Amino acid sequence: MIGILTGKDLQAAARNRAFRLVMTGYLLVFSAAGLYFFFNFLSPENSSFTAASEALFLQISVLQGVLIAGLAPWIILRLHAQDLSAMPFAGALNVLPWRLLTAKIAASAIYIALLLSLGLPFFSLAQHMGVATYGRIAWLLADTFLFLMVLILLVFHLSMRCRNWVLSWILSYTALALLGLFWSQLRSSLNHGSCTLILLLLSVLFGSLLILQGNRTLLYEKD
Amino acid sequence: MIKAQGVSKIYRGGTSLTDIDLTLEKGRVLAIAGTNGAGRTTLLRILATQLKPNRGRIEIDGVNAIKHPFRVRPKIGFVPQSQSFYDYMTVGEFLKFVLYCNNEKDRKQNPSIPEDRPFEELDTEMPLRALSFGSRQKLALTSVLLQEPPLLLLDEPLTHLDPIATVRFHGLVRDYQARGGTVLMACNRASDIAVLCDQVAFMHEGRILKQMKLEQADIDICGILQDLIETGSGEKSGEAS
Repeated sequence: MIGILTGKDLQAAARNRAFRLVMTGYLLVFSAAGLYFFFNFLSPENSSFTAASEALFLQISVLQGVLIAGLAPWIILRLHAQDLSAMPFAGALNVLPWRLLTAKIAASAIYIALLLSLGLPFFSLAQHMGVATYGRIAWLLADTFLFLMVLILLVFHLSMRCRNWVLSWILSYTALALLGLFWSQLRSSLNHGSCTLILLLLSVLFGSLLILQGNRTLLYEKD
Repeated sequence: MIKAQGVSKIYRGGTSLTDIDLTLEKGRVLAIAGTNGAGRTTLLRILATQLKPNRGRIEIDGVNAIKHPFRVRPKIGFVPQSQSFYDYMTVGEFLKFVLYCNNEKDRKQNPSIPEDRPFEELDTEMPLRALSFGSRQKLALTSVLLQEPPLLLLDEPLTHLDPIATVRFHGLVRDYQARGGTVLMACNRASDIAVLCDQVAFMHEGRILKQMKLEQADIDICGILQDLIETGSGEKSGEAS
């Protein structure tokens, strides 16, 4: 059942023209910026290889993180609004809300993994040029993935609670800003492993709360 | 099949339903006629377990619908007044999806759409966003009739249907009733009520003014409703005269 519901959500994304346009835009912007960073890296003005390669790795990873984080609330609010609205169609179906939400989390994880994977050619190139190891790239992608999952789960919570769609958009992007601030503070004060662990714990906590809360909230239409 | 007692619903803006008592036996077809804003849609949504009442008790096929909505939902086929479909699907995909989600039997084997389904003229390759209001209505009716639930709750099912589809719908409901199905529908058209229903309930301002059996083909819905509103009838049952 969860597989069929996940498939439905992925199909919704694949057939949504706005989603396809935005994804194409993301790919173009990310590719153009990535190429620009590589040209800068290869320019003869760079005297220190270590400093330049660190800057290149940082530029690519930050750009990718910022772009996907900016798109994530939009993806959730646009593609899942119908199921989480005041009159969810799923209410007419004999589907337990926790199954619907688990499927939505799974589908969102797939979107995010797909978007992150689009950056792999650049990271592979960076690895090939000796800028970063595969281990470092994998850890960075895992951190970004967990950060985005925490963000997505927060957006799901907000959109389920809000009656007003404008408010849910405003609150979602406020949550993104606050979460970004929280993460940057965390990274400056804790080591890498602890940051990853905190993100993992937060995503498990928010995911469990979402399923528990959603099982009650989505059982009936909102008054 | 349906036993509702003292059902009330209070919205933030005010009361929508007050002390609704309603009984519908298995195999019967009941129409709910009423004034605009009488609360018929709210009542149907509550019976379909989509809205939770503030007070009252509802039993559907012997199961407490408020306590166990998920035990009751497989017994109900609900067609709301406005359909909110997944517009990116095609007609065929939607029907398969609904069958898969709503029917335990279909979940085990890959659901297929029968050739002799109701309103078979609907093209299964057609995207839902391209359907007219009438076609959406036909699709909603098809999706619930294919599941063969013991109870149908229909909110103004004939509003967008053309005359040919209306006559076919009459036939579908009569066949469904002959197979033992029970129907409760919000409907104000006297001609449809006379053809389809054996009982009618009149609603006004969140209350059921009267529920009565239909004994004759002609019924003056407007006249009875006006009389009931003017006299403020508290009588709950009787026979059409």
